[in-house]
Amino acid sequence: MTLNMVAGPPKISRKVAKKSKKNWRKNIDITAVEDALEEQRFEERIGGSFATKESKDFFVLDTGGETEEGTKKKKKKNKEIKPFKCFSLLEGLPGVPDPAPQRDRIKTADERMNPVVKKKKQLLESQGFVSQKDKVAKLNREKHLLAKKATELDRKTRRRTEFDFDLWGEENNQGAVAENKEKKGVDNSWIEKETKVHTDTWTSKHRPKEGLKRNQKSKTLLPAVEVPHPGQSYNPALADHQDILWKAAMVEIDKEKEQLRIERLTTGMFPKKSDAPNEETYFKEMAVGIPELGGEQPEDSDEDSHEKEGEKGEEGEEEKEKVDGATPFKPKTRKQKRNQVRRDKIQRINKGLKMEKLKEEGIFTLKSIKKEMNAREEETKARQKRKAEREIEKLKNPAQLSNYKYEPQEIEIKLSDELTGNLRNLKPEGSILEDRYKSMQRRNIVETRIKHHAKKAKVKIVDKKSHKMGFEDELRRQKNTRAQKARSRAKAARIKARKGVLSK
Amino acid sequence: MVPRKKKYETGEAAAFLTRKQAMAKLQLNLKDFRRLCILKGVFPREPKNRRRAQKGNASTVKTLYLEKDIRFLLHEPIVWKFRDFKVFLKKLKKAQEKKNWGQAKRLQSNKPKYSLDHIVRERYPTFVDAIRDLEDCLCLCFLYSTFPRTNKTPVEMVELCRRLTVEFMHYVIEARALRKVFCSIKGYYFQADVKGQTVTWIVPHNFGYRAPAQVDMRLMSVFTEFYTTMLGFVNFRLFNSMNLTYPPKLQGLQMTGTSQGKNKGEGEGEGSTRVQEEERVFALNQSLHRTVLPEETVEMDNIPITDDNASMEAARKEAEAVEAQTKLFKGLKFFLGREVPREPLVFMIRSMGGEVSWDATVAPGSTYQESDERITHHIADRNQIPDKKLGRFYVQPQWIFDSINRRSKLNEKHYAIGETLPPHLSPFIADRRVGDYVPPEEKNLAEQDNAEKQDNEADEGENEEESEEDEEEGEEESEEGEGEEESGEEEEESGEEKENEAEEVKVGTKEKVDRKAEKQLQETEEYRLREMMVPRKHRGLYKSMMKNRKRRINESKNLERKREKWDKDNTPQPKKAKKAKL
Repeated sequence: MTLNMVAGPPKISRKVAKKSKKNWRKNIDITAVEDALEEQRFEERIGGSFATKESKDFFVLDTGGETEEGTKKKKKKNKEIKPFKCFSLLEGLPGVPDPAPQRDRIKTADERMNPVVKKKKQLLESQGFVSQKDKVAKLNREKHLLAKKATELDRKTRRRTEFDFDLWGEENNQGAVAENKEKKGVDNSWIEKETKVHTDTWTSKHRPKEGLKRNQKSKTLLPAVEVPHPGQSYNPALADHQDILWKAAMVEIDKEKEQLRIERLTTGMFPKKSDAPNEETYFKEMAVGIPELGGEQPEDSDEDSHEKEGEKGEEGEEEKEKVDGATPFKPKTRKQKRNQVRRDKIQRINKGLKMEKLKEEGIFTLKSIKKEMNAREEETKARQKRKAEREIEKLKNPAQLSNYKYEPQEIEIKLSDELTGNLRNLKPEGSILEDRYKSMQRRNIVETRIKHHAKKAKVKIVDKKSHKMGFEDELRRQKNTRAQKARSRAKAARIKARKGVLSK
Repeated sequence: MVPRKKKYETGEAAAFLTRKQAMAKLQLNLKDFRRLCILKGVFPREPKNRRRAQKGNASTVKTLYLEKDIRFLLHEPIVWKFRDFKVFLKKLKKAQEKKNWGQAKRLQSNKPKYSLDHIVRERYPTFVDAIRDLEDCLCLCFLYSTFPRTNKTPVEMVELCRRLTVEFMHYVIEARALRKVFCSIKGYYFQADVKGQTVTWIVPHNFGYRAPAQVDMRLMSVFTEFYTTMLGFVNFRLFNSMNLTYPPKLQGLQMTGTSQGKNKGEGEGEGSTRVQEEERVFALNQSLHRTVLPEETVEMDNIPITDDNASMEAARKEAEAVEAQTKLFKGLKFFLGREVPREPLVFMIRSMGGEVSWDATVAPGSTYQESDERITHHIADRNQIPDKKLGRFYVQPQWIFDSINRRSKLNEKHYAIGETLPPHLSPFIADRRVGDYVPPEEKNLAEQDNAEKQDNEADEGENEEESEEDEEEGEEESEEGEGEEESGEEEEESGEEKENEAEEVKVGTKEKVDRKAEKQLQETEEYRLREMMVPRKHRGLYKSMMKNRKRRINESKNLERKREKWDKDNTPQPKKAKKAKL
């Protein structure tokens, strides 16, 4: 071992005291020993000393060629059986031998049994003598397995698979569901109602009153299964088929109109690239009226503008007054004020008199008042009726239940040349699954939703300072520009394709 | 002093909760909240005044629930089960991450589960309520029963749906409840009369499954989960009401692990759905063991409940027609070609009392061979069959659909193999009003019907004249049907007169013509008088009705003219006209 390689007694410096044992210990140079020990520990850590190992521990003879598949499989397997890191300490350090290798596990009762007794028991069992305890144990085990097998399906589906009682039967009328039926012959009459409610709450036995009162229907007048259009027959009559084709066509035309409208109001609002303002046009615009810069003269002639200026000069003052205040302030004279007060008074009196007269005459207009009232009532009734009708009409359409509008599904049709006229060559149209889903949306059972794709978190790539080589930033910039170019190219292609479709 | 009430504390603002508020109140996450709402039948509501309901902020439309509804949900014991499940998931995740496979397995096998019985009971207090809401339930269950095994449609649910739908179809077969059928490009529509309620449902065509992108499958699965429980209990009650044991013992439809294992071995996707479908048909083609066979025919009571004779008569006629419809295929034996969609046809034929089989090599469950001489109808959907056998009709599948809808066996000649089929008309459109356009195909059918009826009457001497009379009366009837109710009585009278006539005819024919003209004269006179008797209050309505009728007649005439022209232009060869259409 390396420890033995330290030759001779430890050396001690000359200039230190060598009087006591303590001094000797203090001043002795044991670096060599410590080094050796450290080396030993290191070797233990990395899996034992190389000196003690044989060459076969270091090298492996490669017999089979490595295929790509093989390495992949191996990798996967390695991943599976990799032990937990947190348990690595428990496994001990490599190279360090287990201090207590002969650790015993506790033996089972069967293993602990005296071999003589065991042999005797086996002999008896072979002859058919089984102890009562074993018999019961075996029976119980079988029972358990049977029960497990019987409920396997139930446990798998997690729903009821056996329907073996009448849910709407007499015995269930009191509220308890048969699953929780009370055992027959058990007298429960002593349990008070209050107690029962108390114990049953939060179990399916309990039926809150609220449930009995509730209206279980969603607000709609649409049927669950809508009757198909006769033109949707696999072999339709001509008129019916034409009818549904026409309906489908109308839907398509509306859609296209809408698409065109959007196009007009978005891309149509912007000028084309050739018409778009650029530096040249900007300069032209700015140079209008400056002949030195080659700008055009404005259309209206110089004389007109001069004339306008002259007019302005004459009427300038008056206009100014008008602009500042509506009329120039002139206080009323006392006479004017007096007259005003008198006039007001007379007017007031006249108004009162007129009202009195109207009141008196009102008795003679009773008939017309009645007529008016009747008319108003009629109108109210008519309005109410209209409103009720509107409400009913509303129930035939899907309500707005979420932020997304209900979109009706496409009408399933077969074009005239697709109709085969026999069942064998029929290819079904549409999906009943979608049909059902849309029907539920239409009947306000579920709200309209759209599928949200989970957004991927943006990852910022940063090079570690210690690993930076200097050219990464440039590399990334190049990559980004390349990607950008590709994107813009794709966008241009898209726009071109859309325009092509529209022009068609 | 009483503190002042703040804004949005009462009224509409207090009556509504947004979804977020509701979730916070119930302490549930979105997933569980939606599940709870679906199961309990709580729907979002539209307020009268959205700005007030959203407490002044109406910039976005929020999903609102009634506060009362949310308070109602608070009582639900299932909420605790949701919380249990959350705990279970946490435990399972922990075990899986630690790779405690044993523990994970144990946890998996003891998943917390909940029962929906009490909710079904609560939402449908009576059995009839449940049947009224059966349409949604049937559509979804039939749809799910055709699904392949994917992770979004768990195997157990699909199999349960399969079982329940087959059981329901068995009920329809046994109760002879099927009334109308329609083969559309979407799927098959069936309409049945279940305990006096009209129930319509769709069954998809048997084709590959393709999940549409827009549909939230998780949501649909929750609906289906509820509806399976409901359909199970409805089935139980329906079977019991017919003295049948529930669940029926059907071969080929076992909810045990054996069939699952077999199917799983055969692989996912198309193959397994095919297997499923075959098993379902096999199960459908078995007759149930009945404890009591009720073979009695219930006679209609002759007690007049109302004074309205016409409606009574109509009801009686309808009942008779239904009775005839249920026995439409009784005693007939059908054989299905291998290219024919088996499931709907077996269902329809058996519902009408027929027997059906197919080639044993195609699918299990065939009961007799093609060579069986008792077969009356062979259903095939190809242009020609090489070795036709004598003594049986070879018809296309549409014959069955149309026969059921017309409530009588149609002429097999028109549906023979290779023949261009008459159009398949929808049985669901409401009765046409007077003057509405009737396509010539339908007219032909009606005429055929009339002709057959006359044959049955078999009164040879005056057959034609009577039929003329019938037609005329029919027209008048329908004319008067809208405005007046007296026409029924009159009809009865005329019926009696007819009988008298029949006796008198033997004496001489000379007088008869006179009487007829007289009668007609009298009728027109009466009609005019009745028109005059219309109260002033209703005169406006009557006039507008007549005006509309005239307009409709004009329109339909126009359409007829168009059709005639089209027919003339587009039919160089009468046989292939259909295919060349447009």
